[in-house]
Amino acid sequence: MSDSGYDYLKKSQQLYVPITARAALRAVETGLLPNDAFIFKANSVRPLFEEPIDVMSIEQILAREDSDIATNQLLIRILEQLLSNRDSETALFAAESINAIENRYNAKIEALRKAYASDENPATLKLIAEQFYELGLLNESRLAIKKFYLAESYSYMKEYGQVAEYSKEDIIFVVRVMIGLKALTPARNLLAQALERYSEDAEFLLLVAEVEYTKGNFSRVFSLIGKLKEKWKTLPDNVRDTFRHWMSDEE
Amino acid sequence: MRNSVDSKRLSVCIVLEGSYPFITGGVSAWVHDLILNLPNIDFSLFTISPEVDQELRYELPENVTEVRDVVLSSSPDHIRRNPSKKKLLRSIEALHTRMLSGSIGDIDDVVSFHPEGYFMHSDSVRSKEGWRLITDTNVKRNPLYPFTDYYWAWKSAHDLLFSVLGSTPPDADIYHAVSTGFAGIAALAAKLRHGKPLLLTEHGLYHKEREMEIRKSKLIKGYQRDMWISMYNMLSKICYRNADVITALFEENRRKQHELGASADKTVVVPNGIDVERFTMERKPRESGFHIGLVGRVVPIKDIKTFIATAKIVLDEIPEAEFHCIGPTDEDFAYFEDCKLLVQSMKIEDRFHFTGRQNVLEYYAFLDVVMLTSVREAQPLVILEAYCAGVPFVATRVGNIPELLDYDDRFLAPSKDAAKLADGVIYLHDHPKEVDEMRIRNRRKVLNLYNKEELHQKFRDIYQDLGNLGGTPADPVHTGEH
Repeated sequence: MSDSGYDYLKKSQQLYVPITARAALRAVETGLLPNDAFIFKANSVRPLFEEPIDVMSIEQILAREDSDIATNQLLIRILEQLLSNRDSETALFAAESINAIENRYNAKIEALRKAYASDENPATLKLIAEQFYELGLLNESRLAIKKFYLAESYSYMKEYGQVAEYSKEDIIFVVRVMIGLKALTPARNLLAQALERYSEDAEFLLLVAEVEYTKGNFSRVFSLIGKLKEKWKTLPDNVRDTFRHWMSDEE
Repeated sequence: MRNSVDSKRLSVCIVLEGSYPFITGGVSAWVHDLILNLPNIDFSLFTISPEVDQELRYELPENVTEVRDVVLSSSPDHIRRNPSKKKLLRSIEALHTRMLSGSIGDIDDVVSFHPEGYFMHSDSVRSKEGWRLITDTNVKRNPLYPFTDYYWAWKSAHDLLFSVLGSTPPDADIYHAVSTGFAGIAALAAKLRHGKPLLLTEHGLYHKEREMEIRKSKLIKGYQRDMWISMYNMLSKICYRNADVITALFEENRRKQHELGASADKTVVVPNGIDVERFTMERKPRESGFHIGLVGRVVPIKDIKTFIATAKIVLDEIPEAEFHCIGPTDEDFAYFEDCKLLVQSMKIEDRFHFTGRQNVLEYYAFLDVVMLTSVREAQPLVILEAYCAGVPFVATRVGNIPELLDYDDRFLAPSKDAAKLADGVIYLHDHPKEVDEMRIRNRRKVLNLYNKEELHQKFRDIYQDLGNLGGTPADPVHTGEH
């Protein structure tokens, strides 16, 4: 293979140079670049968190406003590292970017609050709670602020619970918020009620195990694991995956 | 405001963008104060505004002779013909070619073929040369994007420049731009056309501030974002390269000016200064409590949430601590509401107070520590004020703050690091004797280095030296280290 594409991307000062692999592919399709320019660009991907951090890649992902929570968590983790960067511009970029991510959530929350004020649709309360929960996850290293966001999330779910009945997913979400808030006894009580209603549901059992583990009741965790093992064949995939993760792939 | 220019008095035209006398803020306050304190110099204001008929936010001092406003959003009423139109378009084409190859473009040719009063908004797109320039740059830079998108992006970016280049500034002995960007280019055009010296003063770094705004903007994306960022960078480079004297607030910014092409012998650090008499006061500590204040607006850039988180951590160690957030709360209502909720959720309402706008002097008299948790600052006056009033400081490591805090790691923290900020406050609480020594040392530092009178004298000297150069600005006239 010739290295003309590589040469083009590395050396061209006068002509169009695509930044992303996607743009390179479009340029190849329209005949603007040789094929190997795309191959070079597409193979130049490296993990975001790999040192030295590629600020430009971070920026490209930041520019997308609809990133999921996992992506945002990864970004925040990297940006928090950059806050202490010796280069003050990079540290400033990191601080401003963290603010920008949080502002997006705040803007969504404001819009949802306004929507709820006008239509009082209970489902909006859940959406607000989810946004606050994600903000809590993003503030993992700032405990005081994390707790504030999780408490807000909980209060919205509580309000929702007063006007509508919790579904199974709602209960799982509320328990997750409670675990984040270290409100383990209320979480245990809610799960006990849920287990009565959903007759020993595996997902709830796994959550109970998590609560008991957090409380340090390892014997209870052990007995719950035994219970789950007995139900192995009927367990849903997500529960099996979590179980495998906990038990180091053991069935 | 004076009615006419006294021919024996030095006249300075201050060129500003989106600030004095229509907008309040740090730069505006600085300009107002400078004019007030140099009464023997006549000042005219050449302002670049986003809209017409803005309300004056300052009472203009006696020595302001004229205010002339260029409105970027409106089309010019009267357009002069330009006999050198073709040469101008060719020089713009050449400028773009140089910029594409990575070199800094000189705009001498562009300005020499572009008379005041001529606005090329229409010629730039209706002439053969202008059209070729747009289509060529589209092919070279953005071949994948729809041409209409590129056209409107190009036009919106360049029309602003054409408005500035066509405007006619007041006559003056010296043109003083208080930022690069459009103000810098307007002042540079005046320098080149009238043969007068150009002084450039920067408080922050214009292109960096615009870059952050663009990156945060929802409206500007993809290649348009890159186009605007690269345009602002280029404007700063051109201004740095052509100004006769450039002042920066602190050494790090001066270094960044050098990186973008300012020659070292033209740059000088002139730090901010405060009225030391005003902030020299007898301390009146309150009988109870340990009082920590933050003087600033309740807005995200000041990161008040980190201040609140710091309060929570400090209160766990020092239950008698009290926190005062001193500053306006009406700029970002949603953020303020969020901050109030955070205070409530942390159950520290009785220990954390949002005071709103206040006379800070009353607070400096009893505060034990002042803090800043900002993610961005240049050279915050609040540190100098607190030092002068005898109050020690804990802050985030941004802008010139490390230098002001003597690079003392005990009192500096990365942005958003509430735990480290709290450590600094707790240290000050636990070491009162050392704090007493710090009060004396910090106050001496302000008196020696950040006295406003000295700042006025430095600008008086710079103006005088540039004024003596008259129409032939040559070698730098006022350089030196801070």
